[in-house]
Amino acid sequence: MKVFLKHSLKAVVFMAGLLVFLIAASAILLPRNNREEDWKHDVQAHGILAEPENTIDVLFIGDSEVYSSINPLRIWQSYGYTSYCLSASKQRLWYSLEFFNMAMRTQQPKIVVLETNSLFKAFPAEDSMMHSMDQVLPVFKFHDRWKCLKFEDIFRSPQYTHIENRKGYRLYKESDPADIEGYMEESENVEYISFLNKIYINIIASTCKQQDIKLVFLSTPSTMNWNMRKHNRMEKLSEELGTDYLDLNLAHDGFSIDWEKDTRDKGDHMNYFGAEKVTAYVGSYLNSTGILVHHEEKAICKAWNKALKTFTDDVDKWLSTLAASE
Amino acid sequence: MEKLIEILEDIKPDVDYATCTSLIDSHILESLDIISLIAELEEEFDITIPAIEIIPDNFNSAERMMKMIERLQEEY
Amino acid sequence: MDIASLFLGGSGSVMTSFFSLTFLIAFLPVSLLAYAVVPHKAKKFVLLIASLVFFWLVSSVLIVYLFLTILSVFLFGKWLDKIQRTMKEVLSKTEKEKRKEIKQGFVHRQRMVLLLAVILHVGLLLTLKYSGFFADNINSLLSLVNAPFEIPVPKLMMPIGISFFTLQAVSYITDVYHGLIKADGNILRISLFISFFPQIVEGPICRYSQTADQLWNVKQIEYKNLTFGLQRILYGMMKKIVIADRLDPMVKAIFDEPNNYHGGIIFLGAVCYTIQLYMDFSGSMDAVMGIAEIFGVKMPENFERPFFSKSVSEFWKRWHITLGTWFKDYIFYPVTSTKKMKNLTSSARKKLGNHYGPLIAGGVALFCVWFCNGLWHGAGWNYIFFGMYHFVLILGGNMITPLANRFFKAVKLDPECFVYRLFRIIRTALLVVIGELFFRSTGLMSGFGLFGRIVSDFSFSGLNSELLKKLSIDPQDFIIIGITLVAVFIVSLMNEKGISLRDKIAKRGIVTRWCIFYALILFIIIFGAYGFGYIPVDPMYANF
Repeated sequence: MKVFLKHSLKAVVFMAGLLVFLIAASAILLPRNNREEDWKHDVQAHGILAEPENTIDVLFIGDSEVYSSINPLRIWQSYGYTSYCLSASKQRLWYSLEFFNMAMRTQQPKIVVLETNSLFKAFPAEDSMMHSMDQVLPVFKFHDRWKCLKFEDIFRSPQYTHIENRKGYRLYKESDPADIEGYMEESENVEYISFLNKIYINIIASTCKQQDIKLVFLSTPSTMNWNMRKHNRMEKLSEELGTDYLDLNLAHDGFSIDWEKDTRDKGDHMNYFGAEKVTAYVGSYLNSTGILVHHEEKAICKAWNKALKTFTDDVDKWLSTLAASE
Repeated sequence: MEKLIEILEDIKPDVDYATCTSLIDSHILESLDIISLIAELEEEFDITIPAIEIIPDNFNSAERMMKMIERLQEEY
Repeated sequence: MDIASLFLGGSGSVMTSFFSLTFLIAFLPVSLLAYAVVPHKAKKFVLLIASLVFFWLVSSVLIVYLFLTILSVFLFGKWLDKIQRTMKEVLSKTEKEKRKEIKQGFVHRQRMVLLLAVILHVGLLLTLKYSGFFADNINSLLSLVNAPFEIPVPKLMMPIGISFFTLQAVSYITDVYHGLIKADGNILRISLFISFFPQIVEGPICRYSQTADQLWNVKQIEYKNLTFGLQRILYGMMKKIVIADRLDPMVKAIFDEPNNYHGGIIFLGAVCYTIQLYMDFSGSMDAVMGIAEIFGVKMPENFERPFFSKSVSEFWKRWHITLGTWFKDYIFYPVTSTKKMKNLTSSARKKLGNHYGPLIAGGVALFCVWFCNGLWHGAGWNYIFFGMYHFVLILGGNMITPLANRFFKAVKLDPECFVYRLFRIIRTALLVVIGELFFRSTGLMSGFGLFGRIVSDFSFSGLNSELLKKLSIDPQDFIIIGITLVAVFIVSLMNEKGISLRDKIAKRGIVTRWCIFYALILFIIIFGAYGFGYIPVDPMYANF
């Protein structure tokens, strides 16, 4: 017994020592900025770190469907609401939660819109464990930064300077028609959401409840990713959680996708034209909630108007060459 | 025993068979040497060495080989 | 099924790797804890339950194949045992003259039973593993003769590790047949022998006499075993996560589209693949040995620093040792021990002398071994070629040895001098790399294509930062791989000289020991190729 206690004590001390090392390594390896050279993964979403505190009203969270179909600048243009797309390619819920928590450290959004495609994408417990661990000890996430570590950074605290002009939206100009055979065919079946995914949805939902944030589920149009079974599940889930649910795969007043023109990859994602339609609809929905206020603050207006102008200039130029070529 | 050492010398010269105890483990006798050795032993000592007897333990030293040969001679 | 979805969710299973978090911080600690707290008598059952749960988690319903194998092994053992016992009984009752004849009958019956068992087990493996390959080839034959029909190509789900536990099953039954071991009357002991979780994914392939009793009589976890075991797991983890997984994207990029690269780059890819395979497989083996060590079980080693080998035949005695031993015990010697082969050897020796005499029978047996070896690795002509390539190299090596020796004597060169030894080591490594090139290539033709490019277009031009980016590797990766390889080399060199680094470390004070542990852990965490930007790599031999 005595030997056992001695060895257990040793083990505890060893682990404590290891923890100290890991904390130190985490402190050293944590990125000091949000530029691409500081952390090359998903720069667009990390751009929110550089947004001034408490200036973003709406967060759009989800996988590539989000950054392809929602353009915060257009919402700004129409309503004066500030929003941001926290989305990355193949984003799973663990990553969505990570982005959500990251944004919540500096922002106080009033509405969180969760895109529904990723809710059905299962991921192994391995990923969940790994990424819970790297939230506690960032060394597990940022370990690869030994490659770009600068000595002078070690004693500096983080300062985020990289602002994303498009607020997480990505512009896609190409189009590739979709085959809509069987798309949104009636079905009584209800798609299954994995156990682990439910946990993550519940965490996000309960945080929103606590912080008095309105949670909304949004299904953006996609012939490849969406069907009635998933729609049925989302109807049920939003009822359970008492949230609004918008499914833009179904017909709505004044909203219709032209599957010949509005998708960039055979119905998987929206392109610019599809995004314009989705954004317009989502914008009017946000407006109808009556929660948000039109921003009048000088600093915010200046920054967002400038970003908008850069964007519209680019797009208008492209649209005019497009018109000329046709 | 002398006969055995003679056979071994014939198959692979320049090894101190009297003292070496890891003929297999140190890869001194390779599998082809073993085949050759078995054919010779069977002829010389009038025994049959089945495949299951071909284990390092039986071939690691001249002494072990002799033991195996004696055992097999008794059996048949 | 909800719990299984936690492990199987997303793409494929993650538990197959002993370096996955699921295994390291969930499965292993839970098993160890359960093992430690239950009373002594129950420990073996904890191991058995853990093993079955593990197999279920990595292959879900396919666990039926494991159960079938265990049941069949048990019953065949029993059957052979019964025949052997009646034989003894009958023999003791008959007079000496008649014994031989009666014995013959019993031996014949035993042989039939063995044959049936081998056909069943190997047949199952062949069906699961190769039916697609055979069907494909038959179809291409049919299309050659313009046959108007095709046979359907079956797609069967193969449980992980079946290539390994089938060999253990056959080995058990054969050993019972030969009377080397007694048939086990306890199906649970057999189950544990077949399914022990560290070894079931990638081996080592153990004989019943090596591990069954050890596993059944497991002991309390001892401090020394625990620390030594953990140390070995960490060392293996370093090999796998820091070196093998870091090389993976580059190897994949080169072999996925080899036509984009010059021969020099393809050669580099083959070298890196060989390193990756060695580090991946031997690293996983370190983990297996380490885990077994914690339970106080000593498994047969699978690697003995193969890249110090001076010949291809030596290489195969040091690489995947348990597979080589299995083939030697159950194919090579049984073939050479048949009466015809023995007669052939005797007569050939008289005509051809000591060296070339046994080569004929040996060559035939060697051919069988290498044909099976190639086929065992996978259903594909490139694997069969891989086997034949090594068959030719080993046989050829054996044929020229006397000539080479005579040559050295003539020019008075000492074959044991350092330079020549080094030359042989490098030459062997090169031959192995060429073999692995075919092994890795997507088919035999593409293998020849790659080899042709290396020979005809051996150029490294275009090897610049742009290309490295395309290969998703950068100079810093090479630096870290280099440093780690040097570390592995030093450890290997010490082992090669008979110095046990682990005992040396164990003798040091607690500060030094802990510093080494901390350094190793931090090294793996920081320089490991995992997490963001990396795709987890399944253990490479789990698919064979």
